[in-house]
Amino acid sequence: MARIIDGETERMAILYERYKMRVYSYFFRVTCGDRETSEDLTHNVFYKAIRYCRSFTGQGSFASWLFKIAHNTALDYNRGKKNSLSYEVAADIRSVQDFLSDEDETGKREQIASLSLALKNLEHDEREIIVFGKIDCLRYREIAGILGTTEGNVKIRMFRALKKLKDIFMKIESSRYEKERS
Amino acid sequence: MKKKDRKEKLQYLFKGDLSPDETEELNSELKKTGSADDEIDSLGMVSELIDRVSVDEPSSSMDQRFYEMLADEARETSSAGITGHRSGRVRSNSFYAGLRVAAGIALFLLGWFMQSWFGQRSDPRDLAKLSGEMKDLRETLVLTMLDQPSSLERIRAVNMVSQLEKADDRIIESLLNALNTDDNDNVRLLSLEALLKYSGNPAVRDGLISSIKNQSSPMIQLRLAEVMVALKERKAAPELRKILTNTGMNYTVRTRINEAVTVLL
Repeated sequence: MARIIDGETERMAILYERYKMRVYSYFFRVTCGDRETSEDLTHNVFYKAIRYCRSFTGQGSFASWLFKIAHNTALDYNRGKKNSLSYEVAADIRSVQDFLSDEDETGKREQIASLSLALKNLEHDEREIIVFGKIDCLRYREIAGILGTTEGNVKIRMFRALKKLKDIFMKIESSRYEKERS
Repeated sequence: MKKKDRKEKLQYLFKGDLSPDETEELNSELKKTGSADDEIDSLGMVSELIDRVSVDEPSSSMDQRFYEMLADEARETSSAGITGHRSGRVRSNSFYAGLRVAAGIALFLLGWFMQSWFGQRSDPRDLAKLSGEMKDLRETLVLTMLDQPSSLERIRAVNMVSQLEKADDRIIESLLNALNTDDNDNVRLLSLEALLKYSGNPAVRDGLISSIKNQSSPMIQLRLAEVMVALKERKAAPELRKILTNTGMNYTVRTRINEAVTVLL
C-alpha cells in the first residue's frame, strides 16, 4: 500500500486480484444475490481504495480497511431501501433452488434454498454481520473495527443474528413441510 | 464443557477459528448434550448451511471496468515510471491499439457466427472448429498484450490468462518469460500467480525453479519460496540456497527463505 500511496497506482491490480472475490461475495450476500449491483459496488470499493489510499494508515490490516470501505458503500446503497420481504415461500424457494449446485442432495438443496430465503428476511445489519463472520481474512477484532464497536458486541450481535436466522429458517422449513403435506 | 463455553466455541467455529481438535471436541459435546442444547446444535447446522449458499461468478466486465479505471488513474498519477516504456521495447501504441480493436471485432464476429450457427446447424465439428478458432484468437490477443510497452496492458494480459480455461505452450512460455524478464514487479508477480494454475505441468515447475535465480524483488523471492514449499519441490532447494548468498538480502526475507530450504531438504 505504501507504494500505491507513493504513486505506483498500478500495484492496486495485485490487491484487486487478491481481494476482488471476497469483496464481491460480501456484496452478493448482503444484496441477496444481486450480481449486477454487487459488481458495481465492488468496482466502487476499488475506485475509492485508489482515490483515498492515503487514508490507509497501516495501523490495521489492509483487509479491514478495504472492508470498512465496503461496509460504508453498502450502507450508502442500502440507505432508504427497507427490506420488506415476506414469507412468500414456495415460489421463492424454487427460484433459489435453480441456482444451487446439482451435487447437493435434494434435502440439503431444499434446506439451502430455505436458508437463502431466511437470509433475505434479515435486516441489512443482521445479514451483514453474518456475512462478515464468514469472511476468512477478518477476525472478530477487525470486524469490530469496521463496525466501530467492541469485539464483545460483535460476538453478541453475531450470535443474535444467527439465532434470528435460525428461527426464520425453521419457520420457512415448517411452512414448506406443511405445504408438501397438503 | 459449560453451556457458556459451548456458545463461545460455537462463535469461533462459525468464524472458522477452531482447530480440528477443538472442532471435534465441540461436535462430540454437542452430540452428548441433550435436548436443552438443541438450539446450539441447530445454530451449528445453520452456520454450516450458510457456507453452502452459492455465489454467482462475476462477469468478465467487472475486471474490464476495473482495469480501465486503473489505467485512467495511473495516467493521472504523475509519478515517474508508472506507465513508462521499457528499454528496447518501444512499440507503436497506435499500431497495437488498432490490433487490439481488430482482434476484439474478430472475437465479437466469431461469437456472433457461433451463436447463429448453433441455432441452425447441429454439426458438433463446426462448433468445435469455431470454438478452437476463437480460443486461438483470444490467445493471440493475450500474447500481443503481453508484449505491450505499458505495464498496465501486460497486467491485463496476465489477468486474461487466468480467465482462459487452458493455456497452451506459447502462453506458458510467455508467462515464464514475463516472470524472468519483465521489468515490472507486479507483472512478474501476477505471472507467477497465473502459472500456479499449471503447476502440474513439469515444464512449468522447472521454469519456476529456474526463475528463482532471476528474481531480485524480495516479494517475488518470498512468494517463489512459499510456492516451492507448497509444491514440495525439493529440486528448488539448491536454487534458493544460491540466492541466500546475496549479502544485501533483507533479514526477514533471508530468515523465511532459510526456513523454506529447511522444509524442502
